[in-house]
Amino acid sequence: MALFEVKKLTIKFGGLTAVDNVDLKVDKGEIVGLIGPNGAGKTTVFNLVTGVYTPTAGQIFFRDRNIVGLKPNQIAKLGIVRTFQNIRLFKQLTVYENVRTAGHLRVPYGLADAFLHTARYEECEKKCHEDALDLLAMVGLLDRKDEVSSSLPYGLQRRLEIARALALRPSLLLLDEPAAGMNPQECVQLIEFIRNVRATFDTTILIIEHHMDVIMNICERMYVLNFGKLLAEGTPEEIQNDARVIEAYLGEAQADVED
Amino acid sequence: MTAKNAHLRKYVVFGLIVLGVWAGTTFLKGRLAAYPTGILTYFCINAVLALSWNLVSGFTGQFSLGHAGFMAVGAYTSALLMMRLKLPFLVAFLGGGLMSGLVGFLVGFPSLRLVGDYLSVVTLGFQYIITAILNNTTPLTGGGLGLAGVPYRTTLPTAAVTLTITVWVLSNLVNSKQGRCFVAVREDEVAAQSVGVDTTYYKILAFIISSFFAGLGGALTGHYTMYLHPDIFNYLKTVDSVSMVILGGLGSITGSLIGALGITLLPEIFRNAATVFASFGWMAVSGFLRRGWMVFYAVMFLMIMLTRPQGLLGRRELTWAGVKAWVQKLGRKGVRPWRSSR
Repeated sequence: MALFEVKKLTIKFGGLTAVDNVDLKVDKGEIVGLIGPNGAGKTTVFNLVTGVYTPTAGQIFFRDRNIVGLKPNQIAKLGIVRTFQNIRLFKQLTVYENVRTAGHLRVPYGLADAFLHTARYEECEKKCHEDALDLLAMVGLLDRKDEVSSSLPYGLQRRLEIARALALRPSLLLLDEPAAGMNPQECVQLIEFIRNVRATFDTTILIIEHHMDVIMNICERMYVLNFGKLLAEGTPEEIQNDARVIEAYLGEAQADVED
Repeated sequence: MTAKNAHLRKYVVFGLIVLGVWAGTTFLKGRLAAYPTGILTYFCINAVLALSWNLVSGFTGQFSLGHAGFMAVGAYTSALLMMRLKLPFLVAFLGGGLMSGLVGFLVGFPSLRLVGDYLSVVTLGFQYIITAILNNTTPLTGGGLGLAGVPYRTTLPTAAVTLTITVWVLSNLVNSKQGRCFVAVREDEVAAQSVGVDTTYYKILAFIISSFFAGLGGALTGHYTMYLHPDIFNYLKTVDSVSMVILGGLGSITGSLIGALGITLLPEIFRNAATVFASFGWMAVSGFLRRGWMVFYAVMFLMIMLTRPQGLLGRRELTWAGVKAWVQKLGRKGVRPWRSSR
């Protein structure tokens, strides 16, 4: 059984069917890509999966449980954590605070412990603090932990957002255009980073991306969306040679040009 | 074992601090004249109110304009519990806070789905509703005639100990995972949800805790002035707390204390300055200070908004270590007497 499976997922906004009968399947440990031209509905799929929108029809299974109708925070708690296309950090907080805030689900103490700073609080907070530092060390942000997150360079903000998601130790990580706005060198670093993340955190990754060199490089399998519909799926080689995909990206070949 | 001891020591130290505050303020009350004692008492009450508003608006980012309403609930509940049910002060006092917290839940539950300005308007409306209810329940609350004969219980030590406990509890809360979730809600609700923060729960939680302490502050006010009237708890009462927090820094505990001190002292400074000038015979200056000091108030806020819109401390905390480092390295660039909290 797949770790994560989407069946006949559909959402309509008024007359527009943004996502139409989409099926996806992700096995544990895979890195799967989701590509498509602008407006194909990729981010909408992420919003549906993370509970921001409720689908008009279809099911989303995670560990054999239908998660349709759960709130975003409940879905995050189950282990599906996302990043955003336009980075959403806690801007005024430091790098360390961003990661530590996200670790809150892994520190099990109650409100009374928080009010009185009981022994249980001390113990959990110590662990939370160490967890946050470990995580920052792993993603290479430890030396900048006290900087305000919005003052980081763009590439590192992306990295921090992924680190913040990793603080929840997700089983499924959804990355929405992690390479957006990055130069080729940063892209190479990102590829390395994502591979490391999978190895270190034993997580499964679903990734939306426009940079073909990035996505062809790291994905084992990929899905192509166009106008909300699933156009193709397969390995990077298969997708690269798929006539329908080429057509969707480059336009139809005209047999006869009359002029 | 040592960790456990260190932990117990923390409680003992806090107990000693409370005892010290109690003893110190009792001593002061015996030595000082009624006027400075009154100012100190008001500072304590104002600081409790500022801290409570800061929790919901500074830390959690929900701009409430109805805090006077919660104060009114706390003040009337505590006063009536003592007057009508003859309950002891401590029970009535906590009862006032709890009732206010309950009302905070009832108001917060439906209205915290709103964001930004809409929430402010709803909470402002709530405050007017409370005033209207108090004005029209004459048999119970005395209505527009006011409630006279509230037992005098808010001595300086009572107010000071309440403030000490409030500061301790709230700074504990803010430095916990719950506190960090409050801040996450303020920073970015969508991002907060994406990392598993139940934003509705934390908003309501902040609202309840904040209105509990606003209720305590209100109860202290009632037991100090010995007279309650619905119009005491008007919009301007909320603005008092708001301006203290804005002055000191949104999202800073020590900032609220400094803000409360500043706003409590300012009118007194001007009043005394007016008297001093009058004694020199400079009647024009004295008269201007006496009647026109609000102009300074306005100018001060304009200056703060222009130069430090985040408040004197921003969202940082003033700490002993920070002050010490600042004094030692005074003048050297980049060293400031505060550390980043949380």
